Amino acid sequence: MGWQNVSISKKIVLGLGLTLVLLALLGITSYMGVGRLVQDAQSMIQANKLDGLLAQREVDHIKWVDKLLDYIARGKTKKFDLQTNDHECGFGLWYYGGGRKDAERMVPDLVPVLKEIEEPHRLLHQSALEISKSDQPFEVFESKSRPNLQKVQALLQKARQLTKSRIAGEEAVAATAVSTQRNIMVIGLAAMAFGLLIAVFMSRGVSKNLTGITQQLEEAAEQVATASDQVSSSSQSLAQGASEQAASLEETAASLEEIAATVKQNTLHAEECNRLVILTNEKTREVHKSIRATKASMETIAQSGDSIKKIIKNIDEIAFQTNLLALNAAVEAARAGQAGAGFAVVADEVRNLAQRAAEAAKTTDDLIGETAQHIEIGSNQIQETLTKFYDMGDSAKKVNQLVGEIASASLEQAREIEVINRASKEMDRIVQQNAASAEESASASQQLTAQSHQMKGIVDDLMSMVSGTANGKRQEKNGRPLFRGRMNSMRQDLGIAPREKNVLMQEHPSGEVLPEQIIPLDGDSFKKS
Amino acid sequence: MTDQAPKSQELREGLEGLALKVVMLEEGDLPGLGAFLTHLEKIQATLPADHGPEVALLFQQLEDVGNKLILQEIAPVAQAQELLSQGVSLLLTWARENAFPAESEPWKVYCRGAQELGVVKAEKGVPKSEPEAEAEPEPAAAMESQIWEDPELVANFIAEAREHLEGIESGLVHLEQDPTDLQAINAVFRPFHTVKGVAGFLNLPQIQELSHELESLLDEARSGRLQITAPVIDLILAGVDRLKDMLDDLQEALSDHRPLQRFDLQDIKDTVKQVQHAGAPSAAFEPVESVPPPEETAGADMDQALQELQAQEKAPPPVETPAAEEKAPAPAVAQPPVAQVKEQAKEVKRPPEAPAPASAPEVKAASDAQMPATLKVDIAKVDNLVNLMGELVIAQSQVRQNPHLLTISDPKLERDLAQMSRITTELQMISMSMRMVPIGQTLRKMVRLVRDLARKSKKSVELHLEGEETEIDRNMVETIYDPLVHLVRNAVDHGLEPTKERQALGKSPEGHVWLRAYHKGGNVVIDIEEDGRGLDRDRILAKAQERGLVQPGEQLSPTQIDHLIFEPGFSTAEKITDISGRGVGMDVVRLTIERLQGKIEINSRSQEGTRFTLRLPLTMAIIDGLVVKVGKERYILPAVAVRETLRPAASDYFTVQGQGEIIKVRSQLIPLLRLHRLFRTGNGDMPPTEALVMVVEHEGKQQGLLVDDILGKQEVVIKSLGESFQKIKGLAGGTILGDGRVGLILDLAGIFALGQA
Amino acid sequence: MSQAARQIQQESNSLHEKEGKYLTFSLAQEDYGLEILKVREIIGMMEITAVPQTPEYVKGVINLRGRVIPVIDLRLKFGLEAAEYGERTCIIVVEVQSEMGPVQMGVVVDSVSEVLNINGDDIEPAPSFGTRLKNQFILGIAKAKGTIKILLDIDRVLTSEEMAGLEILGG
Repeated sequence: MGWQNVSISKKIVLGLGLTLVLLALLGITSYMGVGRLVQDAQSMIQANKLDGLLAQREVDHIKWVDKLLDYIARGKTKKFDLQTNDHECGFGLWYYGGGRKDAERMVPDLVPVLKEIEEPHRLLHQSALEISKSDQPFEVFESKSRPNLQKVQALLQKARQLTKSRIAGEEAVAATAVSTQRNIMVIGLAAMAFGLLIAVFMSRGVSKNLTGITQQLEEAAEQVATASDQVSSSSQSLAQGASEQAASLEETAASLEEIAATVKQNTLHAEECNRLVILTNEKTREVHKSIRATKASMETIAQSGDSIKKIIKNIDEIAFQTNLLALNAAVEAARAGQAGAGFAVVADEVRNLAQRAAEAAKTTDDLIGETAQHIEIGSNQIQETLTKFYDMGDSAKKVNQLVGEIASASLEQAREIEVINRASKEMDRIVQQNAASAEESASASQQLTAQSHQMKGIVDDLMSMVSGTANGKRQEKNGRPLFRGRMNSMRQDLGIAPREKNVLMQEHPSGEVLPEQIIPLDGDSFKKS
Repeated sequence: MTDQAPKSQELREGLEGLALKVVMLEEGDLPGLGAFLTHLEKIQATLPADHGPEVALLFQQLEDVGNKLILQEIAPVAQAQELLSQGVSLLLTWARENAFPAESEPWKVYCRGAQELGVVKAEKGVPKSEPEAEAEPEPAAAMESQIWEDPELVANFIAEAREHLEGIESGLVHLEQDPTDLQAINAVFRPFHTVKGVAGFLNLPQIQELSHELESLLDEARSGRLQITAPVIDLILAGVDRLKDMLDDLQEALSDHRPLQRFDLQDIKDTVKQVQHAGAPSAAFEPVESVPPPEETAGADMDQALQELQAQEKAPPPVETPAAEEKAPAPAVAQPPVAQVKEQAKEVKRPPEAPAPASAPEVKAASDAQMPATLKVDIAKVDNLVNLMGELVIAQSQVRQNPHLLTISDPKLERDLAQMSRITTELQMISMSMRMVPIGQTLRKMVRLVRDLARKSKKSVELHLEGEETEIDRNMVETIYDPLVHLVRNAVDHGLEPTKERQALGKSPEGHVWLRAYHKGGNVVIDIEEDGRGLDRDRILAKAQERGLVQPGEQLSPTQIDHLIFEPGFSTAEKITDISGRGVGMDVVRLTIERLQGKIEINSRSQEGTRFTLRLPLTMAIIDGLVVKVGKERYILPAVAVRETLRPAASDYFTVQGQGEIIKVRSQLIPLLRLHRLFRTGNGDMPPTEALVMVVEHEGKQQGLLVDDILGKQEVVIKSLGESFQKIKGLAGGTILGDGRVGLILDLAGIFALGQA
Repeated sequence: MSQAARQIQQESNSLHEKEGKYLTFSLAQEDYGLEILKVREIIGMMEITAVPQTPEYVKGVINLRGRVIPVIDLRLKFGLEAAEYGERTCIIVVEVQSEMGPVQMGVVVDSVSEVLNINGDDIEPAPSFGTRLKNQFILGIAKAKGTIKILLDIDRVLTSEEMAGLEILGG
């Protein structure tokens, strides 16, 4: 269905075009007819001018020949002032200038003639030169100037005739004007008839297409309204979720803050601990030093004890020797008999003293020995203490190390938490943004709903513009069940539970959503789109 | 006489000293008197030969008075002392003016005083004292305890008396050969006089009595009333023997604190009377005659005189100082109390020149005017001194090695120490030399022995003594006496042929025995030589084979055969005479000599004679020793015995099953003795290749002694280990080493014997 | 005086005649006494040079001021157990009468106590029952200062047949 399928604009363009073509034809025919008339007129003017020119030139040359004859005649007594150069003469200027070409354009038949003229013209002028130079001027004139003058005159006569033939067509001009009048008339009439025909065709085709489109538009508007409703409600729920998310994110951020604070405290504590451990270490070192000093002084005491022991040994030895001496003295005294009796007493006394000294020395020695023993024990204990101290020092060092590690770990932790914190803040920001976007999309979708309703109204208007009565029938045909099933299946595809429709419906109990709004467009058109 | 002037100078000085002593004399000042007499004697020795008879008389009388004062035989002591001072001043005048003031007043006064005291008739005092002596036993018995009050004095007397007796013996032997020699008679007479005097003083009546008897007998002979005959000599010798017995008894009594024995002297007394009556009907004699007897000896044969002089020398007045210690407070006398000191004419050193107490013009006495003064010192003191010197040397070395001292480097200290060590060394040498005595005394003991032997064996024997002045360690003198006796006995008994045999052989009828002593190469050598028949080597060899000492067919050199007589129990005498063949054999002689670190050699030629040569070290007190270490002990090896010291290579060391160890030293196999094992020092045995082997030689045999180390070489003073250890084999004695510890000196003979056991 | 005479004299002496001064010393917890007049001096322990081939109780010889004298260990001599020489160990130098005259000898004892005057009343004869010591070595038993002192006849101790044996052994 060739015409039928042609779009409205094309039908309009085609119909108007054809009409315009006819009008153009009409115009062109008129223009050309007038143009030809003008042209013809101009050609007659120009040919008259050329005829004149040529006739002048002929005269010129006759005059020149007169002069020449005169010259000859006077026998060359007169000054020779004739033009001997063919290019310098009037004719030569016109011929070798533009004139010849304009003339040839105007009267193409002149070309061969003009060509023929050139040679005689030159020879003419040359003959003058030759006459001037020759002693027999006349003969030369007769042999040369004359023939050529005659030929140039003949040819110029012929050129004038040709030009006069051109001017000769006034009756053809009148005939052309009459045919032009008639052609315009015919074409005008034909164009009027054709335009009328195209207009009928075009209006019929356009109205038919518009009706179909409008119907589909309406259906689509309805569907858009429904979808925008849905979008609106899910946007709203999205907005809500986003705000919820934001809230929990805030909570998380708060907890993170707390953790961070705790970790910071931990770090501080660890550092404090470290400091204390170092302090303890120092104290321990001091204690160690004093223990060592104690030990050294105990050793000194022990050494002194040894020295004392040596001295006591000396004393003991002296006592022993004294004892021996006393005994020897006693022996001597006994040998001396009565005379030694007194001495024996003295010896005995000395012996007693020696023994007492020995006993005292022994007692002292025992005491020193005891002291030495105690010192020994003390020394051992100190040694033990020292050993434990060294152990303790090791442990303290380990503690120190561990605390240091804890501190550094806490710092690290704090740093990490900071990072998390930042991330959560970023997240919060994004969630907030999300929520805002969701709000925005919700409001946008509401707007969309409103606009879809408005569009439906416009579509209705269009419908009614296209055809006011076709609406009711179409509603009966496209039933709800069909739509609903489709929606459901669509929902299922989107992973939304069907029952949520109720929720959605409940959540939007406002009268904004009309049953019509959710009526989908005609299934066929749905399909087509 | 060429040095007349110095002599007189000396004489004058001597007399002035004498005068001083006289002035200082107090009543009962015995040491003073002793000093006086000694001094007098010394002056007499320096008297110029040309002194007048008065001077000689004066000296004689002074001495007499001095003696009498000591013996308390002179009445008013003060007067006697006055007399002494007069005499001395006379002598001084004489010495100053070089002419005796015979006509002067002092001389007359002196003569009068002398007369009053009965000194002029000096010799009369002797017989006069006879009844005193006779009478004395009773008070003596009462005073017997007196002896013990001063045992030291008595001990001195014993020693001196013995010396005198020995002098008497040798004098008698010479007297026998020249009975008219008045010098010799005097030489015998004087000791008796001295002994008598001191015995009287010490309350030894019997000794006094007997010596008086003999003295009076000799006095008879001196005065020419009695002819010295063999029986007289025998009588006197018997008396001397009896006196010796008495002295022995006295010594025993002294040490055991028991009363003296009584000796029966009647037999001797009777014989004396007999002899006196037989030889000299008239007992009266002029004392004046006897005073200058020496003059009569002018023409005496020089050789004889020599012997006599020696004997006479013994006579000088005994030192009577002992009494001093008992009685005298001795305040005025400048002499040390130690003075049992007699300045003694050194009899042996210069016997030939010693002048007779009374001047003997022909004897050039003046030439030894500087007779060294000598001291008689208790031997124990000398021993003690030597000991202490040893201690001093050790103490000094200990001081020098004191570690603290070693750290001081003070040149002055070094110098002082060097000086000290020089002094101590010299002191030690001197103290050592103090123990040295002339051997003459010992040799002279042989004189009587030879005489007795000759008489018993009816041989005519001449004994020649040479080198009596040779000095030898005092301790050694006693030890070599027995071997000497044995050797002399052998020489006379076995060596010399009977007179007839000699004559038959064309030898001089009298046999000759030489005893020579001399120093040679750091040794004292004593030769005992006779011109007898020499050793009969065939018989010696036969006997040795009979005794199984030599295997038949064994070839021995003559010297080896000679040495066989030193084997134990070897005797070649066919019949045992009461002279030889009893007591010690030659083996004991050898052993004794070797114990003294000496050697004995034989040199014999058939029909020409035999010579025994004893080589003895100069002193027994010191040996040159090598200090060796064995385990923790140190021993000293006599250096002379050590041939070499080496550390054997393993290849030079062998063990012989059941025989012990042997090392090879220059292709010579030497048995090895381990001192560790020998002395059970209880230290681990070292392998010989790690220890030292000292090759020692003894009696021509060599042994290797294994020791740990040699610590040094030093001269050590030998000390006795005491009786308990006397007989321990292998030890010769002990010594104090540088650190004050005792080191033991090894006796190689004993070690060799142990090694073979 | 001969040895025999001296013995007879000693045997005839009553216990009372033994009274006098004694140097007491201890040896293995027992107290002994020595007649003071036999004692020359008491010296501390010094280095003893062992003499080979002598019985065990002969410790050797010492240098006593330049004299060499033998030293006997009395413990060993009496058959007691040997003891280390300590600070209190002493050498008593005694002078005993031997057949060859007076001889000085050193006697090693555990310690020297004192010089005691012992009354004759306090001296009893040596018990006849067997003690470690041969009876002949004992002069008597004395009570003094609450203890018992064995009074030694040091002459016999040191010159008994054992000592003679020592010589034989040495010879």
